[in-house]
Amino acid sequence: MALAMTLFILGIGAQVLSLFQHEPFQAAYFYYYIFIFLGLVIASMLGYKEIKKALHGIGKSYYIYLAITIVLFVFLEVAFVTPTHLLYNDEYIYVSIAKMLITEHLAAVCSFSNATMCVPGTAGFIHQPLGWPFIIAIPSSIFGVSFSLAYALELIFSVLAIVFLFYTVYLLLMDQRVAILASAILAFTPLFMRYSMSSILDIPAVTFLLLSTFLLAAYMRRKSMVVGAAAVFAIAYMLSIKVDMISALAIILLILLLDSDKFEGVDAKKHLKRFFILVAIAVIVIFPALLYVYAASQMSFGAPQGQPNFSFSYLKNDSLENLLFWFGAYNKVYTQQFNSYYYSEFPITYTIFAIMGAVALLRYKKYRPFFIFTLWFLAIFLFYTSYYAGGVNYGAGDDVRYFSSAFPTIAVLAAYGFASIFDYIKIKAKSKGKKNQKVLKTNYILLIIMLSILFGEAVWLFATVVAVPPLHIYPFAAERYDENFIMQNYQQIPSNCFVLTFKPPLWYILDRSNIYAGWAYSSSYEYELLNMSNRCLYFDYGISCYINSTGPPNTEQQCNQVMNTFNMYPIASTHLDNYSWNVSLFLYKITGLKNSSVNSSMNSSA
Amino acid sequence: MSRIFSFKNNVLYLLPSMFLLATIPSAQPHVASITSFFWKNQTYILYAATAAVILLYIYLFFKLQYKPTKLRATSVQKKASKKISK
Repeated sequence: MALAMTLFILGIGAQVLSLFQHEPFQAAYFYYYIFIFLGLVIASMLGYKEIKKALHGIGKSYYIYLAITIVLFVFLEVAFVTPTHLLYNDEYIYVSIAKMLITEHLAAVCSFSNATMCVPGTAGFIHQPLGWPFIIAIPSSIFGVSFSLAYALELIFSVLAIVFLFYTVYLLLMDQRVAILASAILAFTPLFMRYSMSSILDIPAVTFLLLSTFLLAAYMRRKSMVVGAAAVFAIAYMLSIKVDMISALAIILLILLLDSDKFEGVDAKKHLKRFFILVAIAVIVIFPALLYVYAASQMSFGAPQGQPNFSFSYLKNDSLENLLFWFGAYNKVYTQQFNSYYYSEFPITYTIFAIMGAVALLRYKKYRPFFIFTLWFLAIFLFYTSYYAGGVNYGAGDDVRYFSSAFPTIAVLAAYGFASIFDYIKIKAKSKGKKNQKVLKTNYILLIIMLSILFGEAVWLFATVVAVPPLHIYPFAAERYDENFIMQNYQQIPSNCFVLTFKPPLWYILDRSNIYAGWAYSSSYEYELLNMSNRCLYFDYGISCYINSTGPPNTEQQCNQVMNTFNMYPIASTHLDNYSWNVSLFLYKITGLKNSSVNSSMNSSA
Repeated sequence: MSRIFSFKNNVLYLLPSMFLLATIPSAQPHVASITSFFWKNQTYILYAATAAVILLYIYLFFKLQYKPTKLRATSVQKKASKKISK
């Protein structure tokens, strides 16, 4: 029975997944992203007055503090952190999909294209939803597709995350001091600062999570349907940024359950009825985003063969490691294999203040915010620790980014802890009967000392870890070197010639015709390739020829097959001798087919 | 009876008692059989747990977030209604 049920579910899964491989579905999702993005913008604009009323009470001086925080954050980022890709090959794939959305109106990834268009019927499904590429596509349609635009957008979204956290905390705790401090802690979280100068999904995911919590809290305050609708669109967009944001639904449900603004008073019944209408709308609006998550779940995310993506055993094995991360245990980790260091940094002071904050919330009987923020952390912690790649040291620390969604809650608890301790000491000093003038002076000194304790380690980590140049970042060092090599040499290749590559999206962004190297000698594509390329072919002998990135057959085998099929000579080359890598990368010009070990059909076509 | 099965009692006494029970050697086979039952039927248990969580959520939502206030008649209205009834 259980087997039959599993087979039935798997059967549906395969069907759903195959739908996403077809153009009508890919086009439908392009329009879906337009729908939820416009829905969010329009509903937010219509609900502007209500949102403003919900935020009534924030002092002008706190807006000035917020502006100072943002200016300082942006200054530090722009002045000291060099933008770079931190996750390969995902980041340039998102930018390439932005180009797909603009030129083809398809929410899909292209692996076979000439300089101007993706070859019809070859666009494929990618395991992450395409809300972020859609956002990149909006300004790209005016300024053109580029990495620098994606970096700039990431920084803008980091700033928005800081602002939305300020509003969320204010609405949930009604304490503007804690709100501004929480925003500052998030802004000066070293990993948050590092990610803000890349184009990974985790920053926009946090931004949309905080936008959702902010709009939801504003809805709970005002019970305005338009604000509620804006919250629904924000949640739908949050789910369209990253599949794993499904875990953030738990946070949304927590806020709905524990917000101090209730459905109360004489209008309670009326508001509740309207709320259920909103829930019905939410089910309809969010359904396509959930369907995408379901389709993505049918693909392998790279879990070891025969092992599940999620498991209690991962939770058991990785819990301690992931817990120690919050205490700064992996600020600097040495890997013997590659004779190098990597950094999964987090200031221990934030965690200590956060623990104090949680205790203080209980002490002051603020049970609702206590449960919201501690369970928020727990939901993220348990979800990712149960994931096969959810250990903070997995992949030399590049997967620590998963915990970005927990940074805001640590920031809030730490801010509350800070404010509680500050108040406690202040009251003690006052009770000793000092003069007013003296008390004020003591308070300032106390504030400066406590702020130095809170941010001291973060400043140190920023200077020593976050600000390191990209060439000294260990995770994906080889991929980064490979990408730089292509960026420096791609102009040697005429745009009408085709590049056989394992990185088609990168070449697609660079306006060079390309095909996934493994497809070049497959009967489905070879005729089209020879026809379109006029036999002007190049081969990108990149890092994938040394790393088995897909399979079977893996890229190393496919690479050897290309080398054995064609005659070629190098037009550019480089050598990587770092982090125990000792490899040569080439761009080859293909001159013809080899006589021996030739694919027979390719031979006859040639 | 209802007090024995209150949430607080479950958390404070019953769950730790169960953990303690698991450490007693003579109880080990029973614990093992419960564990194996769980692993064998984890799909169904997961469905049941999900359903239970949804129901619990709805219950808690109404308990914590829905606080309607009934309209109460003012003293003037009460006097007026008395006069009418007379």
